[in-house]
Amino acid sequence: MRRNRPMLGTFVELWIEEDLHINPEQMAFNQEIGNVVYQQMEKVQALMSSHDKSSEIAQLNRLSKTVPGIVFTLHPWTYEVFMIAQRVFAETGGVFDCGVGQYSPSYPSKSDQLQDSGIGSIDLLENYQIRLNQRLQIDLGGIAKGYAVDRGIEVLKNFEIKNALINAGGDLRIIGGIEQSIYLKESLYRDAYIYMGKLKDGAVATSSTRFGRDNKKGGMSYLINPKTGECIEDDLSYSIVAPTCVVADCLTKALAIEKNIHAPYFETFGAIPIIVE
Amino acid sequence: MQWHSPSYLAVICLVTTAPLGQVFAKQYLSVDEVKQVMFSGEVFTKIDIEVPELIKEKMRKESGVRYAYQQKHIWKSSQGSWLLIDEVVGKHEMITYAVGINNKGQIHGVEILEYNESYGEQIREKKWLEQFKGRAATEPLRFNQEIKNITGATLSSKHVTNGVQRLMVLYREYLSRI
Repeated sequence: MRRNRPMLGTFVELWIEEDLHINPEQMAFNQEIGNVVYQQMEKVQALMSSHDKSSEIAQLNRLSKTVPGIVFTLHPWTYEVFMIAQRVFAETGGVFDCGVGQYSPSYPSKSDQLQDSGIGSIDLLENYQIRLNQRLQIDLGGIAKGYAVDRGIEVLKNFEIKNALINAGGDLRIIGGIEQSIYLKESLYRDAYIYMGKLKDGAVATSSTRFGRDNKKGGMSYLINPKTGECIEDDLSYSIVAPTCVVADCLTKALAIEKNIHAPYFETFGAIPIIVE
Repeated sequence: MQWHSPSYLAVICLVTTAPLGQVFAKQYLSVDEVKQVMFSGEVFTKIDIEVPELIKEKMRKESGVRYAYQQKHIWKSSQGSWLLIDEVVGKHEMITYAVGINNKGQIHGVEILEYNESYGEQIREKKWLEQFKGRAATEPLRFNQEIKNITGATLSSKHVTNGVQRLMVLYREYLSRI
């Protein structure tokens, strides 16, 4: 079974392996499972999009500007993403930071740029509560898509689906015992695919400054070094193979910024970095 | 997790390119399947109407979609749900998609039925391709089987979002009134 829905700003493909002799009831059931997968992924989008003013992240960014020390209760999934983000932030020495939205082109005024506003400044408390210690501009764009894929995969596992794949615009995860060839699409505008390797039961994500610029027609790259606020301007693509898509998604940013395939944090997360020229 | 990659990957070693003018069709759901997926158990009747030019003009203006509305499929169920099927054109892809509207006039779901990527000569830059000359192609891409395993270039779904908008104009201005 193959499905595809426009979601998370891109196309989310779902593949569930079906037996050649599958009966119509089982086919209909698989389609229903597909619906649940997409519902869960849409929920991640609704919670974590910083562009949607009603999302939890948008609320949190607004609240952080009011009272320092304010305590805010998050949805368990958003809390989990914050936990993962803080861990990757700590392990990468602050290279991965989803609190750098203030550097984005939508915040053109330098006076409005915030200092030390990273994900590390948030205290994670019990019962999904967090304390906001300073003004924040959280943008989960570099982690939420990977997390959404993992949530979708959880649904498939709960329904005991054996072999399946979710691909959210290039951030993909495969479950099951089948080894699958993974290709890198080098550019939006060229029909060239680079063979990367074979993956079984794991995830791949890719970040490329090339694609960011393609999308904005010569505008700023969307990858920003949180330590300097500078855009990453090069012509490489950065992929991570990891056990989960959320980790793969986060670490592509650290790889693009540091360009160090020997950085110890990749091993910590069981990840394999790949830079393609 | 298990990963095997060619040891020479640090440098690009293999590029598979599509023959000129080839179209890759990715098929997801048929019209019958999408009815079942969105509105399980409802019975749909095809509505044959000619959408007036004035409405088409409103659809174009409000959505910004220039590709003409083809009016391929308009379906209505006995429970008052609608299923509209339409096509939009992206950079070099043709996307057939379905929008389900419930009996309260709200979007119930959006599904891609078919995604066709076609490549023209203009995107084949000779200079760019030359850098890969002489490199062995040992793992050709089998597009039909492996089209789902592609990482990298994130395709924007904005064309479809605009397309959904134009179908909602059609519903609001015309279908909901007939």
